[in-house]
Amino acid sequence: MEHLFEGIKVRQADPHDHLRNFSDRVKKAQKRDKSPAPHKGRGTLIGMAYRLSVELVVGVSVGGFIGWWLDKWFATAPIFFLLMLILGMVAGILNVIRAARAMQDKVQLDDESQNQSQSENENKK
Amino acid sequence: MATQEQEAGGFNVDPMHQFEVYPIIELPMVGGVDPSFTNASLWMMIAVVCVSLFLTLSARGASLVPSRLQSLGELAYEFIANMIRDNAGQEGLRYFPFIFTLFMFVLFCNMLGMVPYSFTVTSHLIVTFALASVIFIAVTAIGFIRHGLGFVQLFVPKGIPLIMLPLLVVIELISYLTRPVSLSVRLFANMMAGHTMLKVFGGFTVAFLSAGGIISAGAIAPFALMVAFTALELLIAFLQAYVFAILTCIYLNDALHMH
Repeated sequence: MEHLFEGIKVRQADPHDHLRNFSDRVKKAQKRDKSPAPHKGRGTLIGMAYRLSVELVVGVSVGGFIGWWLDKWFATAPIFFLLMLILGMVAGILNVIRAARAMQDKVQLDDESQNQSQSENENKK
Repeated sequence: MATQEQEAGGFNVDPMHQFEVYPIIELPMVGGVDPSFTNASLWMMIAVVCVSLFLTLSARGASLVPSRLQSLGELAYEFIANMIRDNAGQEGLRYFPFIFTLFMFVLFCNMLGMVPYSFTVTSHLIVTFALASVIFIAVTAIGFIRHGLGFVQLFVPKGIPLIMLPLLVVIELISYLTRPVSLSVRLFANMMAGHTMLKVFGGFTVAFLSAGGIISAGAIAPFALMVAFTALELLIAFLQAYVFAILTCIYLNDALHMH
């Protein structure tokens, strides 16, 4: 397994830098003639919604499963099951809040960059 | 099942029939596991062959002014490379081959599932869960390899009073363990729900048509809905592959740059 990873490192070291330079150059080129992309992020909104919907249910079920498993292990049914069910609920809510916060940051960033490019365009005019 | 069909009268389409796994080449049991070559195996292989064909053909005879196929291949490459760069940083690009393979496989499985009479591999929880487990184990291993035992700090939130800590560590742990499950359930549920819905509306259309007379004209309503849902399903097929890949990037980011 290790020698496998080493091979990747050796091969990666050089073209990596080259790639980074290349992407910088591409980015510069893109910036020059970048028109604002109005639909960016539009399609991913549905993706975001799908992300959140599952998170809550899964939190509860995974918590419940761990609790059930612990109960079987220690023969303490239903103490761990109930405890982990509640903790799973909390974990699910935590996951949703985190994901939503990350999305919010991203949306704001997108908006800012859009506004910037728009104002740049207006300046050009 | 039979009584259900009788109650439904002319509407005897089983919307779950399409998800049935049956062996094509039966093989003897090996250590309690049935290694038979099933229709699921067949469609996975078709997906792999299609991806390979698409990518080799698009990379062959590469020119400065790309052909249609070449620009499609380049589009896919750029799409994933940018996704990794945005979500996991420059270091994440080391894992590009894995994430690209994953995305292409899921995308092609989803898209091939939209072909009539085909089999949707990703509508089976065990397939998506196996994929998600590989990601989960790999990402956890990468985290431990990079940060050593310090990776455990991921489960210890900062600035929390000591009394609350055990509770929060357990919650964080559960939250971490939900990742493979939510990743797999999302893909599986979306694919299965969509395909079931298409089949149900298809059944309605056939039932209306077979009623005969003026009632047959009613078939136009479910048929129109089916056309709309097919378009939506194509979008979802792509979107779910995208979500699958982007979440892998996000998990990878957590392992590379701990927060």
